[in-house]
Amino acid sequence: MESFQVGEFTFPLDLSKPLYEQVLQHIRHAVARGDVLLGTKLPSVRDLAQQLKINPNTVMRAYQELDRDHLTETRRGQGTFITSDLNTVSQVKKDLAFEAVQAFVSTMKQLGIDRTTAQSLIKEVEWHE
Amino acid sequence: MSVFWALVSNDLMLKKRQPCQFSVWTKFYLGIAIVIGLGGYTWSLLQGFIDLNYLFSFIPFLIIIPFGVSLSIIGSEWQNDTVGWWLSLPYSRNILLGAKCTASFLRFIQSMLIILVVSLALALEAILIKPDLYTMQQLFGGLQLGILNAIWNILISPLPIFLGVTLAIVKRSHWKPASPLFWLSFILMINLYFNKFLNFTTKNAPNGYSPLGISINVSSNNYLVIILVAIALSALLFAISSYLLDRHVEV
Amino acid sequence: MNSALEINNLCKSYGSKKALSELTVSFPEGQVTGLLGPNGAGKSTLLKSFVGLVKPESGTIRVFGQQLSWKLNADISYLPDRAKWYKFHTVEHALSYAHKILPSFDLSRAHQMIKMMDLGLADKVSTLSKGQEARLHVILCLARNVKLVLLDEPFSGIDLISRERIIQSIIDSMLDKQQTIILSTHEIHEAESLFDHVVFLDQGHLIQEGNAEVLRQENGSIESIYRGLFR
Repeated sequence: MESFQVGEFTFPLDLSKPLYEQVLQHIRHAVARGDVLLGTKLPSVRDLAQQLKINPNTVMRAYQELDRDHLTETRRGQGTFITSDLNTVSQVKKDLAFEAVQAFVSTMKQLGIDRTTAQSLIKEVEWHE
Repeated sequence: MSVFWALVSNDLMLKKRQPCQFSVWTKFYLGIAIVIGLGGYTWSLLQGFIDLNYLFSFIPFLIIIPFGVSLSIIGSEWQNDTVGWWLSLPYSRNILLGAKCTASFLRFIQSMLIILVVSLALALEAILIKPDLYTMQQLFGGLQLGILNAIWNILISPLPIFLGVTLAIVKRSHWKPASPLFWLSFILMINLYFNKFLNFTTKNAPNGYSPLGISINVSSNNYLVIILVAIALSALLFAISSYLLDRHVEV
Repeated sequence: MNSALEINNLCKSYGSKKALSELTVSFPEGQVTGLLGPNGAGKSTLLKSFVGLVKPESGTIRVFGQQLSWKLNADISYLPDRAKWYKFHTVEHALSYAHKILPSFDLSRAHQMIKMMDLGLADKVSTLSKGQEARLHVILCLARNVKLVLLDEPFSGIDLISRERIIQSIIDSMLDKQQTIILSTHEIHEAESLFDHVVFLDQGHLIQEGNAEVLRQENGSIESIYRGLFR
């Protein structure tokens, strides 16, 4: 897997998974984790495609999806910016957390661990805050 | 039309080697050959061995040149691996081949001019060195013959040009097995031409000079018929090669 | 999704060897399609048949709904496999010649690309390295405003930097205009992130095709799918 630094974003790219989803997820996670400031300008489609050496259609599709979720806003003639709306960001954060929990639950299920046991495991585990 | 002339001017450069591209050794040997040739010629002049008519009398044989020129201009697209670009151009095969023929024709005119000028220079040298033996009158006689033969060559050159084109295309088409047939008819045609229409006379040249020399002249009862036949055959050969290039040439 | 090219039952053989064997396949419009397969799979033969350099024995080819003819080549840019450009040209001469004979050749764009690709206008083609000449070939193809671009092995046997420059120019070209690009290559690892669509050929047959992202989702990287198919 190769990693590419484009502007304030770092993109690890894995050719064995859909590229469009990877671009989308990296930007979502970067925003949710607070790695990039709100209102930051996203790299242009041209820059991102050139840097990652991927098809510009792929980048465009990911950007459209971000726009649809209101995580980004496109300002005419200026480019695409991460939203400054905290509500949207917290919504994205919540969505990502929910996805993570779902992944956790399905792993637990595979291991044959029931809900109460899983809940008590969460209470026991150290969070290292 | 500008496309056509762009193609022609590119075709004119195909296969052409500029002297600056020659290696040092090629230049060296070429220089030596020229010096020896000129030396030998000058010596023969001093001995009085040369007849000025000779200088111009070989011109009818040069009708073979355009055949070789068109054969090599077409072949060079394959030899230089440019044929994929050439044949995927969005122009009719008539235009692609027509440009190659035009380039061959221009190259032939150019080489006829060069040969005439070189012959003229050699004749002038003769007059300068041995004015007692060689006269301007002889030179004019030879030159007149040379120019007439050169013009005649140029007039009928389309036939050898189109023959060369046809042979080059047949060789690279699905008709390749018929290639020897085309070569055979080419050899027959050249033989017929040299035997029938070239006149080797030991008689006096038109101006009454060259008492010892042989003058070679194109002679026929009907020049017009030869030209018409040459044009008709050329048109037929062009149609054949254009058809082959369109349907039966693969790269 | 519309198809730029529709190929139906295409057959072509050389002697007893079948280069294309009842091949039926289509190429989506406005996308980059990777044409993949081992040597002798029929990739070059197929691309040549689109511009009339190969005459199939049977079957049909439709390019944007039209039948093939030399006229249609005005809308097609074709990079021949293992081709060379005219040795006696300089880079500048090559561009001006292309401008004269290739319809819709964008001279100013070609000059930009020459700068981006780090070529010298005064350089003689005969003195260019293999990689530099390959860059020139790609410029001659991509600086045209045509609907269809066919690149036969644009990366074969050339250095890493030239490969990367060529990939850059393909991405640029896609950003600038709506084009259908078909690219045959063995350098799958480097090129696969460019593909919208992939077509796998083997011995003149279609053995798999599909959207690159869907294939990645289902089976992993295009490179690993290729390994699986041809191992």
